[in-house]
Amino acid sequence: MSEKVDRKDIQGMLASGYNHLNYARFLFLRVVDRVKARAWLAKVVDKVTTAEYPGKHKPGNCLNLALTFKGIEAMGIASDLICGFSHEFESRMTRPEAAQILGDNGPSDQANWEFGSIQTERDRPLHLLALLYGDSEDSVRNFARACELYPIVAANIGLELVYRQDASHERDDLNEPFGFRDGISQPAVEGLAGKSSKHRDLIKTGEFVLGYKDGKGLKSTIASIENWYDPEGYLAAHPDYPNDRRAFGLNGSYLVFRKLSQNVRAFWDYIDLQSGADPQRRELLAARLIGRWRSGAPLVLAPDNPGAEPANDFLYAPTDPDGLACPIGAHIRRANPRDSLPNWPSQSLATSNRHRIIRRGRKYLTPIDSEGGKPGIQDQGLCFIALNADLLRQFEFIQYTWLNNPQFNGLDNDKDPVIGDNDGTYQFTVQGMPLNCHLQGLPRFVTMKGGGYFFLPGLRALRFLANYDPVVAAQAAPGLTDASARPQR
Amino acid sequence: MTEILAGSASALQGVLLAAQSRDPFRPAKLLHYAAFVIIPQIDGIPTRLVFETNYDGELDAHLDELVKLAGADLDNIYGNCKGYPAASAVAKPQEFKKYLIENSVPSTAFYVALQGRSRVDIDNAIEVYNTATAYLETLCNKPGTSKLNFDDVWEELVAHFKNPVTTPRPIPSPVSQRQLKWRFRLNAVLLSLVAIPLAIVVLPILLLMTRFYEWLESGITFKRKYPVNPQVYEYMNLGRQNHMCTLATIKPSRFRLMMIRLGLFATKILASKVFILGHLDTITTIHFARWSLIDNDRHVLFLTNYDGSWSSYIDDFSDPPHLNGVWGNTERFPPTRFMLWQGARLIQQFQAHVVEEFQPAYFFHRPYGDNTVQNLIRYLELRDALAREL
Repeated sequence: MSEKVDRKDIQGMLASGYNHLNYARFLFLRVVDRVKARAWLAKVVDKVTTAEYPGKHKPGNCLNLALTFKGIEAMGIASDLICGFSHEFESRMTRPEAAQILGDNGPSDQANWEFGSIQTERDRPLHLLALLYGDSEDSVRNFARACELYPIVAANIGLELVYRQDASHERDDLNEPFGFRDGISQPAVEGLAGKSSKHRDLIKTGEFVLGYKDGKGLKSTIASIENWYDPEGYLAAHPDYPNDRRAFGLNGSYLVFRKLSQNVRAFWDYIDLQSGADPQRRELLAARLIGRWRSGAPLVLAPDNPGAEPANDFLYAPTDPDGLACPIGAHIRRANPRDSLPNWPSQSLATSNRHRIIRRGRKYLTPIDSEGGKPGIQDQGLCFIALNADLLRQFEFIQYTWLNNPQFNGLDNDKDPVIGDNDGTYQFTVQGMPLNCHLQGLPRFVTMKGGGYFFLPGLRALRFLANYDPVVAAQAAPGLTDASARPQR
Repeated sequence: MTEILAGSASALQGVLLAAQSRDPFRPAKLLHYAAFVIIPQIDGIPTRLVFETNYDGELDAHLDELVKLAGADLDNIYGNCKGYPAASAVAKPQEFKKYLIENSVPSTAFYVALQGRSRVDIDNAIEVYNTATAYLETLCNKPGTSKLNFDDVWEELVAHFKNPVTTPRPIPSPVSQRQLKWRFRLNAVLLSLVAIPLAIVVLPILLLMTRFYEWLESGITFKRKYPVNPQVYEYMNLGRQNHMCTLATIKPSRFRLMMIRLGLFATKILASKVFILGHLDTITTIHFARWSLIDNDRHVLFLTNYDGSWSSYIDDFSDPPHLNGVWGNTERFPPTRFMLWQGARLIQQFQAHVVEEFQPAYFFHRPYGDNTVQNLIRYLELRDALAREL
């Protein structure tokens, strides 16, 4: 029996990638005047797309809003009033041990980030992330104007623009910048996915949305505040402390944003070097690094057929336990090892499904900024966006224990060949009969440019934020509340 | 475990960090993992220094090696501890050894992933594996290799190691995974013959009694005994291998003490007789682990080193009921039900609890590079097979 999912309260991007909308704009905002910012939020909250979509009609524009921990504080809720956010979210992507976990070292070191680093946070902190989607740049621009976020983010709404990133793709162009079909493997979320999803792909709602049961029948901790601070009752009662606390985190999710620059030239140069520029070997080698052909067809299902249809209904153990078709260290086999971890296949599949994320990334492209010069590309890559209920167990685990782990699944010295934090000292192993062969000296192809951890609240929580009044709340609160009576994180 | 002189803890931390940057134990041949941990004041017992070593052979030879390699460092470290005969590691090694032995604490339960494998044995396996892969890499580039089958490749490899110029030589080991597998099967059968009838009779009674105590304790709020160390997250994620030390207080009742003794006794038997193939139940990432009841059975000290970040596979880690069987008897652990249910399985609560009890290792000696338990087992199997051929 699946739980009843409150789609009206859940933001739309948990249910859909809005793939019918080609243009996206990500605005990173700073709260400069919390009273004005709350008034602005009260106006736009009705425009926020909910998970009732995809319903009968497809909206022409979509809006989602997420906040950092500091952002919630900047909106007026003191950080000691709210408890139950995860350590990773509160202490951010820039905390001391995160660089090692996420592979943000060398050129990806936060000293080189464009936004979200400790250095840039000093005078340009990230508080709010507005994700706007539309059919075209014009459509997004008009929509942003309606949300008072265009032509400039003016001081009269209490917000200041810290960073802007646009991302667009041509209609039906689903390839990422290296040239491979992207976004094929997505978990189908119980209660949010369409009915056609196969049982094997169906993942419990609580793996992505707070307030529901996850794959182990547990619920991730929901951030909450004491009743007094919500006198108008915008928030629902906390399921565990219904008489004392309100569930701010209910129907929310943690959102990871990472601007990942892809060095397309270096990638194909390396493939050319290793394959001797033989066209067939070149395609095969590139496919082996990814685990799929450019078309998106997985090597496990179509080891010899580059033109096959993209597919996602496959396992590794029955046909390719040794990695002869799809190497053990191929990108897709690391990011989601399915049944190929070193224990029983069914147990492995269960383990893999405890470490899934919803990906809502979009590719970006920055043209060379020169008047009359030759058109070209200055920078391109992916605005990587992931949604999950537990940053530690899901996003960070995948990054550290699977992608960047040199001993992943019995390998000796291999990191993810495509997005790993390679520095020329790691190899890529192609399993073979009778001998494995190794590609040496993998350089880094993907560099982190900036981002952060955000919380994508439910609609009730957004309305609560918009209408929160510290003065009224303080009057409603019966004096100083006993801090020790608060539930532990 | 030695008492730290009043006010010396922060100076000692500096000494340990300085020693860590050089790691004087690096050339050791009898030593596996080693760590120094400062544990906080608890129940009126002052701050203490824990020195944990996992070594081969006799204690005396092990201590001699430590003194030889790191006498001055040990003097610097223990200079901050109560009752230490000053500069004895360098000047009077017998006194130093006596001091350490007098202050040593036995393990109530102990687990080692690679049973019977000495440091020399493991180092040899790593070197042989590296030599073998380098040789196979050259074979890869020779024409006609693709026509070979596995047996041909194996013969080539054996021939390569038969060549007297090839170094290192694969040395025969006193144990092999094959032997261990047979030993595991035999022990598992014998143990089940004893344990299953016993469990049928005793377990229901224990579960019911535990349920009674769970109900009794549900009204008590156990206070935190010491503040959470602010560096806990950094020290949980030192690198590809990490050290973990936790200090817990046993719940105040004779029943709880009996239960934790029982839990640790079961752990001891299982770890030494059944979990001898490189995994502790379903956990495949632990190299060594030890549990000690200390302070007249008031506290339990847990020391371990493992592959990956501490949170890796904590899902799998928290699944087996054994965790609850031991730690369910300690204060502030997530509430259990009938001893085996809930508790560690409430993963986020369990994680938060570990964060509370975690004590950073300011000095951590790890001898095998980044090699995981599971990789070392593969290397040992290859080396053992080659040694048999020779």
